[in-house]
Amino acid sequence: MMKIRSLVMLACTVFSVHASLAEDKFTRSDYQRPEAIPAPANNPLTEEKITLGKTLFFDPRLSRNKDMSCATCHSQDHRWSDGRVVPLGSEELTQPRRTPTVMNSAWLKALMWDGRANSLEAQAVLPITTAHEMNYNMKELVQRLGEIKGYQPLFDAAYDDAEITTQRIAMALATFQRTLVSNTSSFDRWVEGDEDAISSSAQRGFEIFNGKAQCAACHKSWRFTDDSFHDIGLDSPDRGRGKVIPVEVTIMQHAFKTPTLRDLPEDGPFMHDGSMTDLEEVIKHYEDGGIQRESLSKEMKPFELTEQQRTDLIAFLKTLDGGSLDIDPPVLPME
Amino acid sequence: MNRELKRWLSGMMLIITALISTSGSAEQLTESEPVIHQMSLTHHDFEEWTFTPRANDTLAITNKSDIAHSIYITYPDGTVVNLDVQLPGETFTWTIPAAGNYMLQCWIHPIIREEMTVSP
Ligand SMILES: [Cu+2]
Repeated sequence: MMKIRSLVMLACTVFSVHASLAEDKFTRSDYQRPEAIPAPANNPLTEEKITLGKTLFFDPRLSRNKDMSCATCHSQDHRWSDGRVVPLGSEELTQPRRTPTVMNSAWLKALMWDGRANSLEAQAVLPITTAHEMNYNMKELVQRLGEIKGYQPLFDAAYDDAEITTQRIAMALATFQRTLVSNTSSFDRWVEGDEDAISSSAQRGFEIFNGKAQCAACHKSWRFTDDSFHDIGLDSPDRGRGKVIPVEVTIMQHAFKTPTLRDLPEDGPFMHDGSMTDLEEVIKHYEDGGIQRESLSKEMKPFELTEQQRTDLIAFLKTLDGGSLDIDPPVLPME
Repeated sequence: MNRELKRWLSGMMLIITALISTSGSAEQLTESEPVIHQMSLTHHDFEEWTFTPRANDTLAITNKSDIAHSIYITYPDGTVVNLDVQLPGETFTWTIPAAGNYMLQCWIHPIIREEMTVSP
């Protein structure tokens, strides 16, 4: 009996090696878009909650001085980021980090550059309560929103009673953000079988992306990220994820979350510190392999592309742009 | 090489492996012998296991993906044990100290997150 079990186990092992080797070869279908937006069972997507969340997202009264909303930095005009090297209000910080987009955040497995939030609901309150951002606190915010009559029907519709709580604010903000999904891009049409949807240069770029440049080791799936954390060897003192997890995990020092490559802003800025403004510079950084240090990601393996290959790779990245989302700003409730 | 050919080759490998192992001497596991369970790690998860892990068993986990992982285990009492970095192709081991629920995760890839219930 024991013998049979170990046999089966051994056989399974052999089989799985082959299966996973096949799996590591990327094909177009690995980039297929999902059919529906995921949401946690305790915070399902509803029209009413989306409406409330959108209103909150655009309302500057969520900040202490009533001068900054979530949309100030996650702006529709900048692909739900801000187009700035350093976020508004963080000019005085020693290690500011670029504003990430909130597009496709329904699928995120870890949030913030250092992964310190693990759900959109948990993340939603962070900018509101961060001193150099919206600089408020949830207790006073709940009170302030309670005094704005126009919010009562919105909360009532979303939760079946008009009570305002921190949790309900966070749930609604998370729900609205889940609806910010990239438009179908020319790459998506190519994935679906339209051979002429992207140029032959972009198609060659796709091969380089998955092959020689190994971008897909981390920029994986239809979102072009697997939400993994890596030190990519940038000359930045920021310890990133290394600051929020045990210090003995060397590989996480200077590590930041892999950002999506969909809907990239034309001139960046790129990288967690906004230190690069064009894609060629970014690609050359990966070719060079970054600063050699103990924490450097094992996926940072130097390689060399020709001028034409770089052009192809950039042509491919441009096919991931689905254009700006068609979302009308809400009418803010009256006091 | 197409996918079907690969499937067929895997199938052949299965048969060959089976033949090789049956020709070896039959070993019987006794109570005192250490139990080693083979497990594997892909790009984004642990492959499903069918064995029942028990206290004092050892897990031999092979990284079958082409990327590095950094597995850590959260013990039932909250202690976190880091297993360092696992390069592609490497096999690393961990011996289960006691019964209870353990969480197996990766520092690099938060998507890798598997709970393991260990029997006494
Ligand atoms: Cu991993």
